[in-house]
Order: sequence, then C-alpha cells, then structure tokens
Amino acid sequence: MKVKEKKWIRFRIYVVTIFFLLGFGVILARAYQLQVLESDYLRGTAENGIIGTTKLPPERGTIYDREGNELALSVHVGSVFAHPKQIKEKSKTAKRLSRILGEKKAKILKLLRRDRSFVWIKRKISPTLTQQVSDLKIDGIGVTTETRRYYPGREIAAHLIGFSGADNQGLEGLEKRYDDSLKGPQHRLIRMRDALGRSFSINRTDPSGRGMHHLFLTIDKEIQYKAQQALKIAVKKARAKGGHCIVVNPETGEILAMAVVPEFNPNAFSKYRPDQWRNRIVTDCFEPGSTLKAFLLSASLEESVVTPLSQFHCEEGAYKVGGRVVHDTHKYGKLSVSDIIVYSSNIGAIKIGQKLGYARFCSYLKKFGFSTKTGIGLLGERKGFIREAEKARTIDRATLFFGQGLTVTSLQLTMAMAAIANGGKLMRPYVVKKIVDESGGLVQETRPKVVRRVISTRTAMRVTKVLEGVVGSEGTAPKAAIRGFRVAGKTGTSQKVDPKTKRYSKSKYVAIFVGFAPVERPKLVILALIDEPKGVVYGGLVAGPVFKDVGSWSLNHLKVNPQPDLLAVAEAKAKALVLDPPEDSGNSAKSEGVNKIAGELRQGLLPDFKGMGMREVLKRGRALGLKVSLKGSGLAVKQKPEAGSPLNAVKSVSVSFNPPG
Amino acid sequence: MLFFFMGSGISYVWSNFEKTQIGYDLSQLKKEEMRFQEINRKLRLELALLKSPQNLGSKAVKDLGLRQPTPEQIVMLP
Repeated sequence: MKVKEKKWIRFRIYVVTIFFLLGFGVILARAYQLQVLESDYLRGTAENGIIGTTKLPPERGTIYDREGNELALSVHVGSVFAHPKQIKEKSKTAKRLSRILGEKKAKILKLLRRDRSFVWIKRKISPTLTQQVSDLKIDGIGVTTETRRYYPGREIAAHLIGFSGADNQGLEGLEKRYDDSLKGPQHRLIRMRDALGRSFSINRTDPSGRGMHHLFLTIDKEIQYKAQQALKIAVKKARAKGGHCIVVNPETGEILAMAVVPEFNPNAFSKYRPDQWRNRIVTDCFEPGSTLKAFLLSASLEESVVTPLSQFHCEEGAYKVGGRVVHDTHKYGKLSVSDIIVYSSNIGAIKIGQKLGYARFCSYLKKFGFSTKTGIGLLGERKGFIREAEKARTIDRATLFFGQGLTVTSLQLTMAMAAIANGGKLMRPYVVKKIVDESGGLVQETRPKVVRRVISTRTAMRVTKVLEGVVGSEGTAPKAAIRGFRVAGKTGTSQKVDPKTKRYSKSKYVAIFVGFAPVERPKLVILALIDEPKGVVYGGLVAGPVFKDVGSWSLNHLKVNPQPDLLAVAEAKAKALVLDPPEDSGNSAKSEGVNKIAGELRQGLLPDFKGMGMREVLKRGRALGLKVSLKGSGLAVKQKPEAGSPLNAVKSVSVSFNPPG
Repeated sequence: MLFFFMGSGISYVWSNFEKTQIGYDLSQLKKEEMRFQEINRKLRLELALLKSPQNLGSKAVKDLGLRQPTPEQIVMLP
C-alpha cells in the first residue's frame, strides 16, 4: 500500500471519528440541557399532563357531649361561583341558574354584571343542586365543595359551643376558643391519570402537617336541655329579661349544663343580635344579694366567731348604719345565726359580719374564688369586683355582708357553693373533658383540680345543715325542695343598679337560688338566676322552682335514688301509693298500712313485702337502697331476710312470688 | 437461556400490567371510601337531629302521649 493511500485512509478515519465525537457531544449537550437545565420545567409539564391536584374542602373536628352525642359537626356541601368576565350571555345564564338555585334572576344578574373576576353565586347548598348547575356546562360558572357546620341540637348549649363562620373559622364560644384544635388541615388529592383521563393512583396529602381534633365536653345533653327548658318556662312566667342556669358536679368541677335565656340557634346565628350570642354565665356580673350569707356563715363558723346557736338582735326590721337605715323584709327580734340565714335577715347578717370583720370576710370571699377568674378557660370571662377594706365606706362595710357592693359571675357563685357542697374544696370548673385526634387517640385530658381548701369539712357540714333549713317550710325557698332528697341552698334577691340614675333601681331585680342535692353526698350544684322578673321578684319563689325542676329531673337521669325515709314520710303525708290496699278495704285500713310502713321505716326495720306485686316490691326495695332479687311470678309470698330485720344490716333481699289463687 | 429471558420479560410486563390495574381499582376504592365517609357524616347528622331532645320530646308527648316519670315511678331492675 502506498503511503498516499494510507494517509487517505487515516484522514477518513479521523473525519468519521470527529463526526461521531461531534454527534456524541451534541447528544450529551442536549441530554444535559434536558436533564439538568430544564428538568424542573419539563417535569412540571409532564406532571401537568398526568397528575391532577384537587383541593379538598377544609375539615373541622366534631364537638361531642359527655356521652358522645354530636353537638356540632361538619358535612360537605356545594357552592356555586362565577367568573363574570368569561360569561357572554349574562341574562340567559342568570335565568337558568335562578331556576335551579331558587334565587331571583335579578339578584344573580346583578352578581354576574359586577366588574370582578370572581363572585360567589350561592354558597353551602345541597350537592344535588350543585350537580345540576355543573350539568349546565356554562362557561364561567363553576361549582366547588365546601364544608358546612351543623348544630343538630339547635339551641342546646349554643352559648357555650358558639359557632363557626362560612370560611371554617370559629367565631364564638368553644368554636373560637379551640379553633386551632378543631380546624382540620387543607388536604390535597393528587391523582395520576392515564391517556383516557382515568385515575390510576390517588394520594391524599396534608401540606400543613397538623391534624384535626375532636372535643368531648363535660356537658350532658339531656340535663342541658332540661335546664334550658325549665329556665325558659320560668323566665316566661316571670316576664323576665333573661336567666341563667348552671349544673355542676361539685366533686370534680365538671359543668353538666350551662343554660342562658334568651336562646339563639347557632345554625342561623346571623339572625340574632350579637349580644344574644354572649355566654352571660361568665361574661356578666351582678350583685349576689343574700346568697352571699352562705359564705358569711362559712367564714364566721370557720373563724369560730359565732356558732349556729349564737343569738343576735335583729332590731325589729330597721337598723341604722353609716347614716342609712337597713331594712329586713319582716320584723325580727332575737334570732339565732341559723335562723338569720334561714329567714335571710339583712340586719342579722350585718351583726354577724361586724363580729367577723370586713377585711377577714373579704379574704374569705377571695378564697371562695370571687374577684378572680375561675380558670374555666372560656372567652370573655370576667372576674367581678370586691371593694378593698381601705376604700370601703361605713355603709359599704355593712352592705357587703348581705351581698351588696360587690359583683360576681354566676359561675363564681356556683363554684363557691360547690366548695361548701364538697366539704370545703374550691374546684376549678371545666367544660372540655378531653381532646382526641382523628383516629380517637387521646391528645389532652382535663382532670379535676382542687384550687384550694377554703373551709374545713366540719365547717362545710355545719353550714350545709343550716342551709337545709332554707328549703324547709320555714325558710325562704320551700319551692326549691326536691321530693325524696335532702336539699341545701340559699336564695338571693338583689337590686340592680339603674345605669341612668346610678342608684339601686326599685323595679329591676335579680332573683337567685343556688343549692345542692342530695345533702349527704352532693351530686349536683345548681344555680338558677332570673334577670329582672316582673311581679314576684324573690329568689325562692322565682328561681327556686327552676332548681327543683332541674334537680329532680337530673337526679333521676343520673340514677340517684331518693332517700327512703324522706320518700316514705312524704308519701305517708300525701297518703300516696306506698302500699296499695285491696280495693274493698276502707280508708282506715289504708292509713293503717301507711302508718305501719312509715313506722317500720322510722324504726329502721325491713318491711313486709308479702302480698305485693313485683313492681311494688322493686319500687319499695329501691327506695330502701336494697338489691332485690326476684323468683317466680305473681304476688310475694316469701322473703329473705324476714320482715322486721334491722335495715342497717340488710344489703339485699330475695323475694319469692307465686300466682294468686 | 432464551426461554429464561423470555419468561422474565413476560413476568415483568405482566406484573406491571397488574400493578396498573390494581392502581385503577385502588383509585376507585379510595373514591368510594371518601364518598362513604361523607354519607356516614350526613347520616350521623341526620341521626343526631332525630335523636335531639326537642324532636324526641315532641314525638313522645304529642304523638305517643308519654310524660316524664316521677322518681318513685322509675324502677331499676336488678
């Protein structure tokens, strides 16, 4: 091979090599451009083609009562919107939409003619309606899914729960207070689609990373409803401006009911005035009137300045102090401390208070929780006011002892009475029992908390004994007595200050009863307050029946048995159906039977069940607090232990029945 | 060797096909799940409305003629 040919071959090899190298270089450069320089843009373009993202409506946690009944929950609803600038035939579109949505054409047309790029046509409507709108396929009209908050109990606990707005934000009450917990994340649904648009992969993402929580309240829906009903009736009957009723478990501080009248329906909150949304139980202060005498008695007994039997002269109903004359509703001479409370003598209270001292009483009131927030954690809670000793005039130093010249909230007064009921411990009230996450896992739990011991158990028992007299026939609140239960409490009737004259009004009063039952082991503390009653204004007469109604119903609901001896005495008094006599027996036989049973009970002996039906035996046995086991059917023929056995040694009784004849 | 490679190739294609099919099914089931969850929520709301004391109270009193029992009328069975 010639040298020239060899050179030519080498030249061709170089050319081909350079050609291939250039080719590879171009490919590498292009690969670098696509994979590195433009990768984000290209990935985005590709994903837009196969990945679709849908924003899911924001969720909101459910609010339950203590038994797990829903008080507030959210469901998905549809909303219709428009891009007015994209709509060509506005009048025709408005007509078609008005037919489906039931709105006036003119109203929709006005929205469509607005100079905006986005308007809501109608929000939070049934998904079937939005589907119909969607089927119209009008350019510039769209539908979306949102959530709507529902309150199935309507007015039940509305003032406590509050409500949330159109954009899933809490606006009042617990909805606002626990907005961060209740508000769910804004989920996005990521779908991968094939060429035909069918989804073959769905993922739900949560960019915020925070979870949605549900609230379990201490409220008992049934007791709450009963409290609202009883209060509504009392307010209507008294032609009053409004009222409050609170039911509390004194041992734990759990709020079982918190009722405010006038009510509002949170499903349509905008139809009510904002002042009707307020939870007045924590936001409104008033003078507690004579209810404060219960705490005067507590402080005086604790400090041993008096005993329940100490005597004071009540000046025949008029007593001059600080240049003014204080009156009692009735004229009294000498009264014991116990009677001063039971008859609610203002003059007697001043005299007890003067022995105790203003400053010392103030310090006890503060220990009972007045003039500080209770710690319930509700929005807008006020702390009330007590005048300090150095700022108090002589008349202030006297009137404080019967509840004038200081202000308290209903909740403070209830919790202070709960401290007497539970043996002297001031409890922290609470309404949220627990917070759970979406899968039911416990996030936060509220446990009962003792704020402080205010008085000794012995003093609390002595005070309770005196307060029992208030609901007796001699006291100021016999209408608050609950049949079959021992009840203790205190009435109060305080004058309101007229905002115009800045003096005590002679026509505006607040009637209060606050008490607890059963006395032996209190399960409930109930406060009933009637604001500005007309006609009869006394706490015992106006608010007492609310206490009785709510207390009686709630004790039944909580399966608290009435006390057998009280029931028997009440039954014997009323000649009620304690023991049904045979139809042919005369009145004497009936009263004999009643007397016999009542007599046995008084002696603490087990009665004779023979001849009674099953229902009667169960009723009587339950009234005695016994476990009853039944055998056979018909009428009772045998019982074990025998009739006449000492009741304190009997816990259960077995009764055999045989058909009559 | 050829059969082995052919078998592997077919298995790979088949498993990919199955994966895609399962993806479709899963998407459908997820949609169904979300729909059922919403129906469940609506039914819970309906139930809560029906069980509300106002509704039950009016039905019991007006339709059935019932009334609240007094304490001594409540008998707890052992």
